[in-house]
Amino acid sequence: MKVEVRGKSACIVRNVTVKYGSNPHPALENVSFEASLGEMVMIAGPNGGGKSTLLKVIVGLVKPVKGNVKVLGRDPFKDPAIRRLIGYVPQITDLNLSAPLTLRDLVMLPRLAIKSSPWKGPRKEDIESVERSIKELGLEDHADKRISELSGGMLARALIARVLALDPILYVMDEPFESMDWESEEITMKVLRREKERGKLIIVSEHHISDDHIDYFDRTLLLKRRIIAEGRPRDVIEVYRRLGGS
Amino acid sequence: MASFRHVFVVIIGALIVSLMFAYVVVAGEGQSARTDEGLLIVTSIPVIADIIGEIVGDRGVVLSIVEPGVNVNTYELTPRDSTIIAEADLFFYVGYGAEEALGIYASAIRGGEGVVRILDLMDERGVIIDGNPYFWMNPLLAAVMAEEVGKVLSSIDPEGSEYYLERALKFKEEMERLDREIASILSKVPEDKRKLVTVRDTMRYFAERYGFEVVGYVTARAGTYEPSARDGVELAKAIVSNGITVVFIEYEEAGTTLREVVETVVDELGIESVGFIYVETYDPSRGVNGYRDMMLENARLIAKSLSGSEAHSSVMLAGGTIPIPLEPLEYKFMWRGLLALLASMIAASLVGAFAVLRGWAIFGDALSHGALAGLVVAYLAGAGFYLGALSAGLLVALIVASVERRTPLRADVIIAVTFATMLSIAILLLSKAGGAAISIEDVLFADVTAVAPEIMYRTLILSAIVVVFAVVVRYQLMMYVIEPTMAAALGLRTGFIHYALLTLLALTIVTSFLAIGYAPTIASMMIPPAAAYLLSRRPGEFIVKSVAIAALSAIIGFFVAYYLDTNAGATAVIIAALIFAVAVVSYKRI
Ligand SMILES: Nc1ncnc2c1ncn2[C@@H]1O[C@H](COP(=O)(O)OP(=O)(O)O)[C@@H](O)[C@H]1O
Ligand SMILES: [Mg+2]
Repeated sequence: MKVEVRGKSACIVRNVTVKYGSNPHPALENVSFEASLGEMVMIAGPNGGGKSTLLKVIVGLVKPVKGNVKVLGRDPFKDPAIRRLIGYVPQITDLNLSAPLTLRDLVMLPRLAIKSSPWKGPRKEDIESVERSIKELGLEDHADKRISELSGGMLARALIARVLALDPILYVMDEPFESMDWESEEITMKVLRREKERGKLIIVSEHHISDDHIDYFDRTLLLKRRIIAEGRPRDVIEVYRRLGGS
Repeated sequence: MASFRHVFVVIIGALIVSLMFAYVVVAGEGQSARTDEGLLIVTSIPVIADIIGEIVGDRGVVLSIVEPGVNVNTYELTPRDSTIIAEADLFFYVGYGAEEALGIYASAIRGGEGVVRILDLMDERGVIIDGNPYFWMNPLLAAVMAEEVGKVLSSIDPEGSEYYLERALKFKEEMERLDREIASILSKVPEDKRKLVTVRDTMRYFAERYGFEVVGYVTARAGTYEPSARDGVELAKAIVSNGITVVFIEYEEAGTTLREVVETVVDELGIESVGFIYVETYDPSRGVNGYRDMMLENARLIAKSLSGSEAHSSVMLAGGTIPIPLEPLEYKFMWRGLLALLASMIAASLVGAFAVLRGWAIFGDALSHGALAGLVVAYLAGAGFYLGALSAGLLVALIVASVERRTPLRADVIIAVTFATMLSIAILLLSKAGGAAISIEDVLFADVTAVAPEIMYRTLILSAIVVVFAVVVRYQLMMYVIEPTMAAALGLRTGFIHYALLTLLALTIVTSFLAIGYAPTIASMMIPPAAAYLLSRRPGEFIVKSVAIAALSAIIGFFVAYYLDTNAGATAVIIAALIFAVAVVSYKRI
């Protein structure tokens, strides 16, 4: 697929409003922001602030009632093919944990689903990419475990490994650190930083911000239905704390 | 609000269903059979009603619950019939197979009062041979029955006892005349052609009386019967070794699996089947208006069919060249059975494996009941079974699929709701379709041994479609079934995959249940994947093992069924279940 990646804004969200069902209060109201390749953006905000909704809009899983979204120049809702270039880590997954699947299969499957042809099966580069990702997240000793045998933190890392194996241009991660311990968080952060340096755009949502990683982010948006603050992470955190967040 | 809409839909649905029930009940009440003039005698089947009518004469009315032209095996009790049974002065039934169930219903409805089992009366007269119930195929025994019925009538209506006695004597004379008439019609059948092959063992008394020999039938059992792989082969052997050229079909068997077995064998051997022999019922629409008519009609048909000029059948048995374990494959219809079973089970286990991962394990049940309702609708509308079942199956799939995509209800809840509704609709329709001369059960419990060529080809095509689909989109399909949200986030066409999988599921269920039967189809969707699940760690392994277990069970099951003389589909399921049991036992050691 040919995509325009050179321009400044790889992800443009413009005047987006989202409503769920017949709920009169929008989950997002007139939200706008832009982000460029090589940037690492944090979407912060309280529970129910609309972080997950915003990320789903970017991935094309939720359709805004107003406004528009462009990812790499395309509308991800109307043009699902563009989603292949997005590495999405959902906050809540409907993964069937009892499926007969090892960690390695879990990492491999999305890659096969979008990159492989049915005639060839896994190619050399698929296998290499999967093994590399597993290793980078320190999961090599668990690769042959069934997913039902993984701990919560391990599974969370595996979900990172599988988007890494997709080699996307844009990472969209919804509270990926939620069930991670300090070590997993550290490993993940390291990987994300490297990806950023490789020119990828990384968007991460967080409802709880640990001081350790805050400086890795170039920019933070504070989201509470609308964007109520935007700027350097430490400044925005200050606002957030004053509003009663943590 | 979404939930309000659901409640609304459920209420409207409940209203419609209650109205339908109300209609059935009210329609029954409007047409009470009660007459105040005389006796109301109710019987199970028309032939019995006709004979008893001769005795009751103008002292009352005799009704048959099963109408002329209807197979008693497919009869479902309706509220209207229950009312009639309850109001009757006496209820008579013969007491065999599915017909016996009517006697049991009647006993329950009437608290056991005034329910007469005719076979008991006949047994006391010592005229029953080997428990065979079809005694009335000998008119002299019909006269014996009439005499006994006269006694029972006298006990509840003493005033009429002389009248009944007189009518019974007159009937006896009539029967003796009929007997002579039949004998003379049959006199032109040559000695060496006096051999009968029928679907069931209905001609015992007839043969005994008129010097014939019954040399073959699919089963001696009355009632709903599952033919086994062996029944067809045994029948073929009997036909060949007795030089039979014509097989007689009972009217009641017009659309049953048993008849299919006969037709399959007859086709293969290149002989002829003729119909109909009237046993339980006659058919006024064909000018056969009662017991006497049907007996004469039977005699004429037999005389005409067996007095042809050709001396002996030209059929030869191909046996002797095939080693014993492969004996069943001597006949083409057995090959067809094996292939249909194999193809159906492969397709079912393959879609089943993906469906189970998606949490659609019990979907098969909902779909098959939807298909059952469709079968009945198709029958009533005079359309093809396959078309009816398929459209209903697809409709169910569509309902489940769209409710699942539209609401947060879990798939198993939606499926359970649809399943229960469809089952009720099927029962309701079945009870209204009592007039069908064709057995829906027989279609449902189809047997592979009697598979017609076109059904076999259908299963092969289906199996090919399912396999190709599953192979070509295997990664996308697997991604979708284990994690639908991620599949969508990856830009896969989840809508297409969702509906395609459901469509294949419906197609597989309908195609294979018309070929191998209902239970084997559902079981093939569940058991091989369940066993494979215990035996695999990886997705590809899981899918391949599901299919392998299904194929193995089909082949082993088919041959085991032949040697144990059991139903092939059911036997294959049991083999699969045994593999599952082994997987369970050895699970911990993996
Ligand atoms: N699928 C949904 N249906 C209805 N309302 C939803 C749905 N998802 C989220 N919401 C509502 O939208 C608002 C924002 O939710 P969400 O985006 O999940 O916030 P966050 O991720 O910041 O916690 C909340 O009020 C939530 O109740
Ligand atoms: Mg959230």
